[in-house]
Amino acid sequence: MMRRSKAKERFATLLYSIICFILHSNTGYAQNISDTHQIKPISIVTRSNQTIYNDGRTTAIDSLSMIKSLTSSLSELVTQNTSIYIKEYGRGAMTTASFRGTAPSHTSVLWNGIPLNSPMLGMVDFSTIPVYFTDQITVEHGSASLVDQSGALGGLVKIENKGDWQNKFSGRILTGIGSYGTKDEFIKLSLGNTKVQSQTRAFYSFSDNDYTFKNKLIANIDPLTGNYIYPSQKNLNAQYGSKGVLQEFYLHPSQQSFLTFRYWYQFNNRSLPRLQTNETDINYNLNRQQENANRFMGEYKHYGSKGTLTLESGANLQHSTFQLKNKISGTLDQLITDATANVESYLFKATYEYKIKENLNITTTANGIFSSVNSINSPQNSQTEGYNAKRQDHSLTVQLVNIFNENLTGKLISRTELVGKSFLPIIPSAGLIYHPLANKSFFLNGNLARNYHLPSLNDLYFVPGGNPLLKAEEGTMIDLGSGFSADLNQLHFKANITAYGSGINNWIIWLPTPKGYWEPSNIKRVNTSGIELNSSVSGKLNSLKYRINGNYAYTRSINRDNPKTWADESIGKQLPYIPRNSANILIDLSREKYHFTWVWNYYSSRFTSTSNTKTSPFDILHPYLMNNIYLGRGINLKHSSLDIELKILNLFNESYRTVLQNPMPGINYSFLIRYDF
Amino acid sequence: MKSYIPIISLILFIQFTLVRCMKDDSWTGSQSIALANKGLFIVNEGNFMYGNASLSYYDPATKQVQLDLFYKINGLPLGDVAQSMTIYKNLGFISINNSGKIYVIDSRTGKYVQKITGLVSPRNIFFSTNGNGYITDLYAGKISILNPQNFQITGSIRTPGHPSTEQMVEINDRLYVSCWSFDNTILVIDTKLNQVVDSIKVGIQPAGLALDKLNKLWVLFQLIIHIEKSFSLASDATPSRLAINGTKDTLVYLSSGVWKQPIVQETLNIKPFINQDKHLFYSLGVDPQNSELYIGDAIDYQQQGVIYRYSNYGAKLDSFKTGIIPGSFCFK
Repeated sequence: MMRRSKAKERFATLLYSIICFILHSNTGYAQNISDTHQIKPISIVTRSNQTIYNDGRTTAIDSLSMIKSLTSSLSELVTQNTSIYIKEYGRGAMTTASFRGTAPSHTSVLWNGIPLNSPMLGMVDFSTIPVYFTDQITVEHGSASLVDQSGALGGLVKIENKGDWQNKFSGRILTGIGSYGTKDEFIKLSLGNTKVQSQTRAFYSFSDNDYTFKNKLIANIDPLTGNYIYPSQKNLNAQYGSKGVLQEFYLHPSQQSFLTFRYWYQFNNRSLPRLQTNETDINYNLNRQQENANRFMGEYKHYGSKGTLTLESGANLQHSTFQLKNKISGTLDQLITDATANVESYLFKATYEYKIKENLNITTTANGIFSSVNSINSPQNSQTEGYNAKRQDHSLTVQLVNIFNENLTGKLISRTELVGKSFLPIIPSAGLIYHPLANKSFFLNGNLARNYHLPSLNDLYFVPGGNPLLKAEEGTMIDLGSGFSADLNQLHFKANITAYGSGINNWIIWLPTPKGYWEPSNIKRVNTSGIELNSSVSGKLNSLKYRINGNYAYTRSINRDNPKTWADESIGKQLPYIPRNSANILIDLSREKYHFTWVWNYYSSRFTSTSNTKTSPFDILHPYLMNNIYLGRGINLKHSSLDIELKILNLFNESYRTVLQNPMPGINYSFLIRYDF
Repeated sequence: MKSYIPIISLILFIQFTLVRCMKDDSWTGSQSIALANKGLFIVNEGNFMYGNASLSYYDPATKQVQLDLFYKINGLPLGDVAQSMTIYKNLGFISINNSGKIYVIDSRTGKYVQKITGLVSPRNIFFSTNGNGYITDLYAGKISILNPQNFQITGSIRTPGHPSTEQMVEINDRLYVSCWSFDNTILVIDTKLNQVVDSIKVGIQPAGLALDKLNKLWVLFQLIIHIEKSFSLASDATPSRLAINGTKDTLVYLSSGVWKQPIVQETLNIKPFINQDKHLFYSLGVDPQNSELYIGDAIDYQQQGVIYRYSNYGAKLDSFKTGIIPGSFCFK
């Protein structure tokens, strides 16, 4: 009996310390929007290893920023709150992320442990992930991602949903209208008690996206004067729309165990606008891209006296189509491209976290991912080509966290991965955190790791061009950092700085060939290095609450391959579309019922060629400087609250592009009403 | 109120120092550039969906090269994937494949004088002895007919079952048109009737056409054939470009190197005329005056390419940088 009672006491202590950690973490700190709405503490469980070993390489996007971006996609949220470079192919169009100077496929995204990176393409389109469906977003920089996954050479974005055990009945309704025929609708209903909780969310977003712009890349010649006449054009064929539902069930069958089920359905439908230099008839080059995604996951968690067992399983099933056609008068529509892909991933994962001694924790994770792709492409003349491919990826990860003394903590990770029938070399990672001060407000940390990124199934098997002989990309990475936090009266200050370096061998790149199609090969060695700086200050001046958050990243992503010929000028140069400098500042002010947020975002110029030449205006994208503001007022009702907000995007009406030849909109607005009950 | 001053000052400071800083809307270019009477235009495709195609001009006598000519003279980008250029009566017709248009420039000055729009994905324009221009297209399923006097499309020739048309050669009143993308056919068009009157099945994706001095038509795909004979290339060969020398008695083609083949020779050569080594030979041109060879090296397809100039006998005469992905040549 004594032993059981001690075990219960230890468990209670553990649970208490976890809850305390969460309540005192940043997430809990900054959840006020004026005085109108208090977000309840929503987390109950977390990993004690992450609690013990927090080396500043994991950044949480605070919930205030998430509420500000509720009607946005993940790309906007990440752009405004992290140092990740987001490459946007137009408003509402595909958006990819480049983290620490790496390729889009090197940034992984996990939704409650389920990989969202397509096994077919290797990357995630950030524009298709609605912030509505997220409760917590954390970013793991570089090798910090190895705790959760291999292959994220740049880093990992973790999206999580949380239940609220204190909730009985609550909800949120949001409606918004904006420029260019943009509509946003969202509803969330939460119902339950301390044993069972249900959360249902649904959203619908649509935009005609038909903004006008002066096209200075084409011109007609005035027959009288000989001068150029630049046309004012609409961004035609650029509609986008999404709808989705997310259902979550949280069960608490016993004191020590939790069960979770989640289902996420989403439909995306959009067209890609034509380039600015395109002068075809409006009935030509018509395209439509559609995607249906069904995602399931279940999780069982049991807290024992000395350890925690977590069992997870889930699936990510995607069906996508892309059609490109011309409408030519007098004949049937001419289908140029008709591509279909069925992509499935299934995940099985078991994790056991065990406290060997008071100062030594071990976490063991066994993981299995089963992926399959059925890709069919029907180009001209009704010919069909495509491929069917499957891959099994099993891994075993052991993580040790040891508290050597009050000042020094270490972490060791070893990951063994079996891909098909071949073992990858061991993936190791080792790190230390040193707290020289007694109050632990300052730390130094360092980490050394190796990581492997597998080719996507398209890289290996796409028809035509897939290369089954591709090797995994291999990265060796080092991080050195420091962090500081302080509380002075009503002011809270926090700053982290990390310097990193990595060498990536066998970098995969697709290139055209004389065969008339593109092929991938392991041709490059790329060295990336840089500095990441994050700082925030928040507090209260009289009745004014303020919070300022800033990120800065200096990124070098250098091609270290051997020159192909004497004329090859790409060696030693920055990779295309990677900015050297990126920064953002978010200033949030609130006083009584009013709140104001200003977001500023900056990317330095980006080269579009591997040689970094500046011989023409098309070799470079000018620096990107964007200002957005949010103005709002909260209204407290008896058992509910209302918040109305005006968003002004591109405040200074800049003419700009984020990739060559895709114009972006000028100043635009959206008006939102949020009702919480 | 005093306590707000630091925050308000910070906001104002940042606002005033950083607003309206993007310079993305400034396009300039109205230079006057002297183009030598004899020379060649190099059409650089640029990257698909980047819109960074460009035009260069090379003077073989002085070895001077002008880069990005179209933009420098006209202040406009050429467009997305420039495919080819043809000169007709001092006018240069540049087909911009993924911009759906043909720019017309004065070939003596480089000045933009007109554009032909309403096309789907133009590839080549050929001027027939009947005075019409014929425009092939990657996706249209038709060949457009142009009146070069007023730059109007006056009609079209349907090519049912063959959405993609590519290169053209004229023999008497017959226009021979290769159907390249996922096709294996040469269409025969009567230029008096402007109708398809015949078709010839060849190998998959015929990549090039050439007419020799005996009025024999040569087609390059996995085989080199003309109507009377064929040569099988190696099974792993990747033939891509076909040209003929100035005296029209020797074929020149790309297939992991530059190969020469006299039209009367009964067997294929076993060694290339110029080895590819680590180069990425992408385009080929033969000066009709002196049979000098111009070979475009795309390097990695994402930086300025290089042109290598060789004599008819294989002596290297010059090399120079050009735009991204040099795709075709047009001799003035």
